Parts: sequence; C-alpha cells; structure tokens
Amino acid sequence: MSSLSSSLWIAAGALQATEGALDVTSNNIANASTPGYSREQAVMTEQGAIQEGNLTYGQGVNLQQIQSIRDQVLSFQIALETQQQGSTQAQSSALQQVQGLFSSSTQGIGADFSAFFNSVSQLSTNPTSVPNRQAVLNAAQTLSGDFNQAATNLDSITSGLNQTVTQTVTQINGLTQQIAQLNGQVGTLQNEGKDPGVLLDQENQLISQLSQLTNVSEIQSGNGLTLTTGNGSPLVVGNQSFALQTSTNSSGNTSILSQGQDITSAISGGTLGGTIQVRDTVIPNVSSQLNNLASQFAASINSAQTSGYDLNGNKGAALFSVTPGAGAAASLKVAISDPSLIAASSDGTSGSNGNVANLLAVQNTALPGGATPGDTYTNLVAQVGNLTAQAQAENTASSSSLTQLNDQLGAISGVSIDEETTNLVNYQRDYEAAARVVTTVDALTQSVLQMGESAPTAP
Amino acid sequence: MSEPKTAGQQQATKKDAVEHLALVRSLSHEISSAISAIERNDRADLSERVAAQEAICLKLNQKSPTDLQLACASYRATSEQSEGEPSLWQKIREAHIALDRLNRVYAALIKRSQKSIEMIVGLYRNPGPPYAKDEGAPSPKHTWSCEA
Repeated sequence: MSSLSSSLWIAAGALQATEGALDVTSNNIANASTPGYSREQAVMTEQGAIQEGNLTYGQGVNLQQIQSIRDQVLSFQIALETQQQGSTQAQSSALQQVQGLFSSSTQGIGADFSAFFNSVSQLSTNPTSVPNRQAVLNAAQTLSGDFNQAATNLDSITSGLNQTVTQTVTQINGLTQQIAQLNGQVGTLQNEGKDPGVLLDQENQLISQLSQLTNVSEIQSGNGLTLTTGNGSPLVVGNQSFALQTSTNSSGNTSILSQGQDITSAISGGTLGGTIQVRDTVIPNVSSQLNNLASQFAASINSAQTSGYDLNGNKGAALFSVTPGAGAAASLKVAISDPSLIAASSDGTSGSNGNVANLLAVQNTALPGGATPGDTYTNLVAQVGNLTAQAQAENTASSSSLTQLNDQLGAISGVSIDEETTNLVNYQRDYEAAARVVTTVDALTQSVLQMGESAPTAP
Repeated sequence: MSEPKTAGQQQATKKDAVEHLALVRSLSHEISSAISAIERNDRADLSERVAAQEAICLKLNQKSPTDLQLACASYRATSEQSEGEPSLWQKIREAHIALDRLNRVYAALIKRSQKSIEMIVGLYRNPGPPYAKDEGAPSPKHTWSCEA
C-alpha cells in the first residue's frame, strides 16, 4: 500500500481538496460586498487510515463539505442589536414629535403661566379696570387653549403611532410570507442533497429586515426554520407563515393579535416594539402629568377665586371648568366670560384688591404634586427632553454597535483562540476604563449644567 | 469679605475658564474618536483615546464648577467681550451640553460592547473542535485493481 502510487493518490486527493478550498476562497472574495452573504469555509477531514499488519498508513485529507461560517454569538448579537436599533429609531422619532410640544419651559404653557400671573399682578394696581380684568380672562383663555392643544396634539401623535403599528404589521406579514416560501425551497434543495446556500443568505436578509420591525426568535428544527415573536407566538414554521392581525382595543389603540390572542405587551423590539413603548408608556405618562397639572392648577385658582368677591360684590365663581382625570387638559375651559366676575376683592367692595394676592399666591405655592405650576411644567419639559436625548443616544450607539459587530463578523480569521482571548481580555480592560471615564464625565457635566445658564455677578 | 482681586488674578481665573472650555472640547473630540475606534475594533487607538480622556478628566477635576462660574463672572465684569457674543460661561455650558450628548452615546456603546465581548470571551473559554472529526475510516472507493 505504501507505494509510490498510493503516495501519488494521497497527493492527488490533497490537490483536489485544496482546489475546492480555493474555489471557496474565490467565492468569498467575489461575494465580499454582497449584502447578507456569509463567508464559507472549507472543512478538511482526515481520510480514514489503513492498517496493514503493525503499520498504519494515513490517506491524506478530503474536502468533506463547504460549510457556511456563521459565528453564532455575533449573529445572535447582530440580530438583537438590529431589533434594538429598530426600537430606538422608532422611539427617537416618536419622542421628537412629543418634544416638539414641550420644547421649552419658557414657551407655550410655560409662557402662558407667566402671562396669566402677570395679568393678575396688573389687576392688583387697578382692580376695577375692565381692560385689566379682560386681560386676565384673555390670558386664562390662552392658557386653557394651549392645554387643550397639547392634549389634542398628544392624541394626534398617538393616532400616528397607531397607523405605524398597522403598517408595520403589514410589512411583517409580507416578510414572514416570503421567509416561509424560501424555507420550503431550502427544505426541498436539502432533501435533494443540493446546497441551499444562496437561498439561506436571502432568508437571512429577510430575517434581518424582520428583526428591524419586531423581536424575533429563531429556532432551527427538523421542520426547518421556525420564527416566533417574543412570547413564542409563531410567525413562520417550516413553509407556513402565520399572519399577525390588528384590532382596535377599548382605549382606541391598535392591538396586535396572533391567532386571536392579544400579544401587544409581548412585543418589545424593532419598530413595532419602540412604537408601542412610546404609545403605551411614554405618551400616557406625559398625558397624565399634563392632566394633573391642568386639574390641580384649575382647582387652586378656583379655590382662590371662590374665596373672594367679584366686581358686583358677589361671592367669586370658579374661573376654570375642568373634568378631573384622563381628559383634564383637553377639557380645561374658562368658565366665565364676564370680566366683572373676576374675584379681586376680599371683602365685597369694588375697589378692593385683597383677593388678588390669593390668586397670585398660586404661582409660588406647591400643587398637590409637590411643585409650583411653573416648576411642574418645567419638570415635564425636562423629562421629555431627557427621554428624547436618551433615545437619540441609544439609537446612535446602536448604529455604532452594529458597525462594530459586523466588522467583527467579517474579521473572523485563523487567529488562534488563545491569541484572540488575550485580545478580548484587553478589550474588556479598555471598556472598563472607558466606563469609568463615562461616570466622571457625567458627574462633571451634570454639575456644570445644574448651575444655570448665566454666570453670577462678579464679586 | 474677600480682598479685591488684582488685574493679574482676574486674568488667571479667566485663563482657567478658557482652559476649561478647551479641555471640554478636547474631551468631546477624544470621546468621538473613541466611538469611532470601537466601531472599527481598533483596540490600540481605543486604548490611546481612553488614556487621553483620563488625563483630561484629571485636569478638569482640578477646578470646581463654582470657581469657573466666578471666573466667568469676573471676565464678564471686565467687559472684554463684544456685544452679542455668547458669554464665556454660555460657551462652557454649550460645550458641556455637547459633551453630555456624546457621553450618553459613549456610555450606551460601551455597555453594548462589554456585553458582546463577555459573550465571545465565554465562548472562547469553551471552544468546540476546530475541525470536523472524521466519522471513521471510509471504505476505500479506489482499489489497486481500479487504479490499474
């Protein structure tokens, strides 16, 4: 056996194997910029040895199969990050709309509060002046009008987000249908012993697009690929797709159903998850704070109003009408139209301005929420600004992270595991040091930003 | 009551504030470059940037924000700046706002990268076989007679 012929045979086999490996390399180079293409690796296996008496002869190597390298961890991370990016992108875009309504504490409702209290302050100089009284009513009208507008705009943003949910579900259904179809073709090719590599790459591309829309779990089973949503509701099983449905729930929002079951709360990633997050958590929270501010402010002013007397010597009537609870900001109205009904007097005499102080006191008195009306609004503006900034930062970080992960995936090489592990440990150290910098910078910037916009007067 | 500052002392405090502004801007630049190094998986560059960030942070922590605010106020009192130009303190605040924005991105990216690296380190500590194992000696397809 150990003749020249057998040596040549081993060499021929090795050449054949190498030729196959070169084909794989050429294919990798040719497809280097093809989206979704996975690098392939030639897997060499040792030919079984032959035993002759006490001697064992090796038979060289054999190119057994061409196997796609899909680094499971990186691919998993990329899928997760893609879902995150879809979500942060949707959140950032929706929050920018909300921020547009609460962009500054010195504009809109914030400015209206100041204008209202300025008009009340003016009234104290001449409490019988009808123009002064009319100015108070006008400022109150502007204030209530802006509360109504903010509530209406929040509702409009919610309606827009409901449309996004419906459109996204339609896109998801289109993608799952295509994936199921490809999955069927992959199965057929595999049964025929053919390489389904190209179809698998197309399938991965579609899964990546799907990940941008919602959180997806991927399971490879005997039936081929199975895709499910976060709570395990099937999207694709083998060559069958399961369409998601939408319906309008009792609060008027669009719910997502899988085979009749409401799965809205289980959707956490992708455009769909981000949209639902803002629609069901952020906007209701902002809305609730706005409603509380409207009803508490109205109650405080009404209480001051009813403790005084109007120009006709009658007990003061409520200045604002409001329906407490969920629709407070939308329902806030000025309840009186006659300027003489403003209760400036504390004793019923027309020239008295004794009750103006009570009306003005509302400006600097904490509402039941714990802060003055102006500060409550400022806090709301800051909260919305912070949420928007954070969503934008997360979105940018997500893009950078995807670039990094894709770069890592493309950089898989024949570097030894030991060398690579050492490199990774060094990365860990750098990240730890960078994380300490982040904490220091955060403390530094917060202390400067909390010090106000203007420098104090020089000593 | 504090003694009135001399012209030299006022100049020095203004210098501190100007230096602080330059340092904050440099830190933003370093963070921006570090983000880019992370994206490229360029560890050598990242190490360099982080070391520079640490050095800048150390310098920035030498002056308290209150001192800086007072320094800016002194600068303003000397009326050295032209009409309509943002005050030094405003410039410092704006630089800090930009830095804060970048720092949020940096923090979020580091968090993600740490998680990703930890997973890969875990995987490498428990590697599978690098090559497919042979299933056993296959029956020879070619025999001497065949070859002959």
